[in-house]
Amino acid sequence: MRNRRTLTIVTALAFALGVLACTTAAPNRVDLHRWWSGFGLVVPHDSFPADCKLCHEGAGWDDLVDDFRFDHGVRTGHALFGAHAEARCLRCHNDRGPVQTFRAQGCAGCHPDVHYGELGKDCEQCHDETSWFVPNARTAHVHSRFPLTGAHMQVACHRCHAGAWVTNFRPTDPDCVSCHYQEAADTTNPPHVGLGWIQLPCDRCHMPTDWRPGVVR
Amino acid sequence: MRRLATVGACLWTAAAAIAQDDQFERVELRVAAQRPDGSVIVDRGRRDRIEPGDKVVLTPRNGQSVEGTVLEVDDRASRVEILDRNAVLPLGTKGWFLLPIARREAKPLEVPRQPQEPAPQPTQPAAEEEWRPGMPLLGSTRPPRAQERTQRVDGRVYVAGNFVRTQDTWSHSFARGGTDLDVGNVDGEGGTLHFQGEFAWGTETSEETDIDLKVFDLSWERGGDRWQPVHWQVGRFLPRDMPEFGLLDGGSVSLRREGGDRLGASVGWLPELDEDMESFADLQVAAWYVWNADVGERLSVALGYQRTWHRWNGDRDLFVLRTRYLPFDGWNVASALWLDLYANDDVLKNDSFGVTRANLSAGRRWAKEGGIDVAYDHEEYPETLRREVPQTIQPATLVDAHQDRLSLHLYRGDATRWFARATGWIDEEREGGAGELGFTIADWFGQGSRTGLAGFTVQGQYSSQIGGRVDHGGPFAGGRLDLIYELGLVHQEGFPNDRDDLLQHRMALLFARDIGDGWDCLLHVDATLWDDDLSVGLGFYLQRHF
Repeated sequence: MRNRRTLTIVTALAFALGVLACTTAAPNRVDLHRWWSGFGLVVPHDSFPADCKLCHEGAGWDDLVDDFRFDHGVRTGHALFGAHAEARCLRCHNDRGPVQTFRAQGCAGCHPDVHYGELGKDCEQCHDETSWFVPNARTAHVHSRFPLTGAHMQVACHRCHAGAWVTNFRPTDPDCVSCHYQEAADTTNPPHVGLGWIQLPCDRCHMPTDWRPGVVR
Repeated sequence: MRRLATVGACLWTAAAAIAQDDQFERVELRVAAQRPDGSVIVDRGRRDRIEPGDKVVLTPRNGQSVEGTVLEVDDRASRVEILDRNAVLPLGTKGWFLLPIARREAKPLEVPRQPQEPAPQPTQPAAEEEWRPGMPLLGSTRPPRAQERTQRVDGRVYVAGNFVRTQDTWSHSFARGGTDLDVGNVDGEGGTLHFQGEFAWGTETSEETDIDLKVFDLSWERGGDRWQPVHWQVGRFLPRDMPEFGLLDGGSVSLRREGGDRLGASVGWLPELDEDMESFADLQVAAWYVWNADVGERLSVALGYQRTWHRWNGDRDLFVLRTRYLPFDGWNVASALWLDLYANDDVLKNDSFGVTRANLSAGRRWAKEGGIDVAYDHEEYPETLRREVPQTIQPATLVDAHQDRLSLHLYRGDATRWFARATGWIDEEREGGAGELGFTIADWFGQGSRTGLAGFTVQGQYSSQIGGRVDHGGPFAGGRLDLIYELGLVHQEGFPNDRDDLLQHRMALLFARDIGDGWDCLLHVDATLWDDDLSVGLGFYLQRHF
């Protein structure tokens, strides 16, 4: 019964996401920089060439020529990379004010601090401009007090940092029993809790390489 | 004649380039208007210290260099006579003139004013601001307000999965799918609707595997832009000015003052920041003030206070102080400090205060030369009724546990970049650190690639390690492929048996590609081999942004 409910939810989710992904109007490469109707002059045009036909065509200002290209690096001195190169103009040039103000603040000028301010301001330590995926999380762990070895190397982040689902990486107590207390309590041969071993350092007997069979000296 | 003028302009350019280093400063300008007599108006004037007789060089898009002479100077504009009457100089054509350093360093100019002239009064914009003959084509167009724009949807949808086989279990696998949407002017009044949420399937810390709906943002936002200094937001959201206070189910309001300062307050419940995100157990009120030295916010100080109640029992008094300094050319400095005040009803930390968290970072970068980053971080557990961390923290641990960490990152070079990273930490029981030294080389195995080699040594809490890493990334199959191989010799500190040393191999592959039409995909494989065990993880991330 539970499996059927789960399957139903997953199917409904997949269907909904698929419909949303495939039906939402998405601009193609030219349209990414299209000046959509009603957006208005947020991007200042006063330094643009006077020949409007270089970019615009037709009767409305929101129609751009098919081969429209805007080299942000050449025109503004600030080249765009990764996801920024594909973003719509108005994601940055908008009613908040001059984009230079926010660009000068680095990532924090536009992106909210989803880590609640607790991981510092140097976003580039973990993220790049391609996606929010963090490719070097395991490598970066070398510089923590709990370098990942053995089985911990493949453990999902949220198994130790429960808040990782919501980008909350508050400190996790690195003592073994903080995460493995239940496993110790469930072990009856020998009874770890009954013998008081729960108070001892686990690495007197175990290594983080092969926990379940137990490597006993 | 035109060729002669071009040659003359080129010679003038070359001479100017030689002379400008110590005697002149090059000032950029643009053509703002054309006159019937062939002269042009440029956007530099008396305020820019341009004077009649100054030479101006204009560089239209056809590659020509056109020389001219300043005839008349106004406060913010000048009329320039063009030597080549046949030159085509569209509006916006770039150019420059050489400003003598001695003139620039002279006493600031006084702009002449008529003493009897009344100060100009601000005028209300005309109700009808459509373009009329005689107006500049684009300069005076009234920008539409948020409520006048067409409704639009920005955002993304995504699915991701990570399937891990380690030892004898798949329990570290997870999958998620969700969306992040901003619907602008959804109500016709300029408000924005935000939604960010996902379904996530995985094994939780409770060892139960289930599907959870996680909503990070479902809120309505108005104002806070250049037209409306008052900003308010209701729903579930992360407060824009004070993310340190956490996600909020409630509302916030703030006022942006002249100069960029902001004063704000919020009230609502704090959802748990864990896998279940349960809410309505912790009520909070908060207030903050963000001071900015100027509208550019390059020097900013924020102070906030948050009071919470856990199931109607007084819980936490928290102050947050945040600073940021971002000079144009200098050290970027940022800091944040969480200060908890404890009262009599706090059993373990009564009548005192504690720095629950603090971080300070300073960094400086030199283009194509290198940079340096220094960071300090302090953390300890606050005494709260609300559960801040998923683990059960014993009282003795709660009182004593802390960690201080200092890290340094140096790098030098551009195409070939050397880097060194060092970290030291100390907690209530031990101390340790890590050191890493390496280099990366650009374009070694193909254009756009970067190849690196690094060695590292680590002293962790339970293990020490020495190892090396080689990585390579570059264009592949229309996307980008990154490969990592890492070898480490791990020594387990507390395990006295002769099996306390082991070799650990790790290989990772990451392929990212923009498929087109807004679709992005990312595939990754991660395998770890240690002792005689192997674990493998396969992951994907598929996204469409719009």
